[in-house]
Amino acid sequence: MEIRVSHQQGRVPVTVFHVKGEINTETHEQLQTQAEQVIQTGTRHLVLDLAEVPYVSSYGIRAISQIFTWLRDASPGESAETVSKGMRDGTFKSSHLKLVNPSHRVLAVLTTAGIDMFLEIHSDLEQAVASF
Amino acid sequence: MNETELMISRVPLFASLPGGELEYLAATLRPLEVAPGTILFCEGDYGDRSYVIVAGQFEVIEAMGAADERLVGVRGPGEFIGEMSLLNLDGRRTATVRAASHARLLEMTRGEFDALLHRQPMMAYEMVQVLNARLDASHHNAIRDLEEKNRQLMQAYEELEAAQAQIIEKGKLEQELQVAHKIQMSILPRRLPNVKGFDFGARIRPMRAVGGDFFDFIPLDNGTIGIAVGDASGHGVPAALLMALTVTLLRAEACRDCSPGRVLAGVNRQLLNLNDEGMFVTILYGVLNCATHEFTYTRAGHELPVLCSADGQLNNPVSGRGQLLGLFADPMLDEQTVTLGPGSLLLVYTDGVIEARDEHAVAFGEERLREAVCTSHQLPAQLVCDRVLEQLTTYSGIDAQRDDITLVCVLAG
Repeated sequence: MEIRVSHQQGRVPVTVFHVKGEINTETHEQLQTQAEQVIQTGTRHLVLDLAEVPYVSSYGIRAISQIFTWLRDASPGESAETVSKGMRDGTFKSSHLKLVNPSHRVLAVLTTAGIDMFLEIHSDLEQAVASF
Repeated sequence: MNETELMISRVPLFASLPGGELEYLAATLRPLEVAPGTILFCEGDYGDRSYVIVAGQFEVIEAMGAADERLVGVRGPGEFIGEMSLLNLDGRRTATVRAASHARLLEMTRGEFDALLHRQPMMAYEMVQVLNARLDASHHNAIRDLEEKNRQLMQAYEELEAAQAQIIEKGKLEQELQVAHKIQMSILPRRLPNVKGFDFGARIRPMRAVGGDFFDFIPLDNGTIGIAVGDASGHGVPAALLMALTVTLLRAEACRDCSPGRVLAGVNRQLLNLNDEGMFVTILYGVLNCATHEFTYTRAGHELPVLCSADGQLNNPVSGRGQLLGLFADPMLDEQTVTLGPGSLLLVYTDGVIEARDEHAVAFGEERLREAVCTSHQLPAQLVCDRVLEQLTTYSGIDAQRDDITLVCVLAG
């Protein structure tokens, strides 16, 4: 798996991970590690561009969930109760992590796992950056 | 003094010879020239002549071509070679001599050598001194050789010991994994439910000795049965531990509540308290009412089941909302209900089934699974599971399994 990092300016500065290759048992740690590094150095708004990701395994789901949790923890203002209530009511979507361009197969995995219930999934990178 | 006499006089062994003797040797010894790599003579050959090196280098090699070939010395100008076979009783060469460079020599036959010693007895004394020095060097070489061999032997022994320890450790680990496999299998139901009007089947095949997949049939009150198929994230021992924990929690929660959604919410709460590793579980848990044939289920991040009616038609269950367990405090979970009419079949499975790949990395997929179910829906439930597993094995090969595989089939009579 390769991750190319770019930076875009919307209403807020946004870091984009252009991921190439499967996010699976072997590669999920690389995604987590790189995300952890950018969060530690100040990134608060992250887009995962999945256009070149043919498959996301359960380890990939775990990595995406972990990144969501790190970003949420790094951003004051969203209490655990607010997030929990929003998730329960189906009204919560992360304002720190967005996904873009998943293939049909990857989208199926994301929706089966319920990732789409708390992360916005966009079909256009510009739109995803602008949505923060 | 001509050039050959001068050359002979520079050989240390001959340096003290009188002028007449030098003149005689110059007239009788035959000069030789050899190219680099020339084998002058071989170890074990019968030798009837020795040589004085005038120019160039020669390697003295023992056991040449064998595994323990060794270079025992290098001889240069002024030294003689081949004298040992003239002194040995059996006349055999004690080593092979090979030219290391372009070289020039003077050749002396056994007869000439004997005559020279007879004429110049003091030379025998000098020769003994040289031979003694060579013997010393050879002795030291032999000891070094032995020490090196001893070191190699010790190293080989230590490597052997380490390898043996690894084998023992691996054996122990394999034994432990076999025990873990047995324990894990014993956690799963040993018997399929025996309920009038329904036929049940189940198959599980972990990718390794132990895995994260599970299924369960939980007898509940009022003619209902809890049916679960789950997948703890990851593979191997960590997944197996999470699986065991989840099965235990599920059984405890299922006996307290008849609502699948509330049962899984309860399991989720417990998992969050007990699991700090960010691992999660997907489960499809449902309650089958054997009287009404209704199956009410909650899908927590798990694949939708396949539902096939008696005439082989597929009915697509509603996806609903269902997040993974073990990650969030309040996952969105809802309940859906399907009715299993007479002859209809419900297949619940884990993602290892649809994610099995062929040699071109093409996934087995939901379409192939639905087709496999539809073409075997009139078989007994256990045979449906067996048939699907057989097709998966044919599709991807038994050695190419990438994930745990679990199938549970419910056939309504």
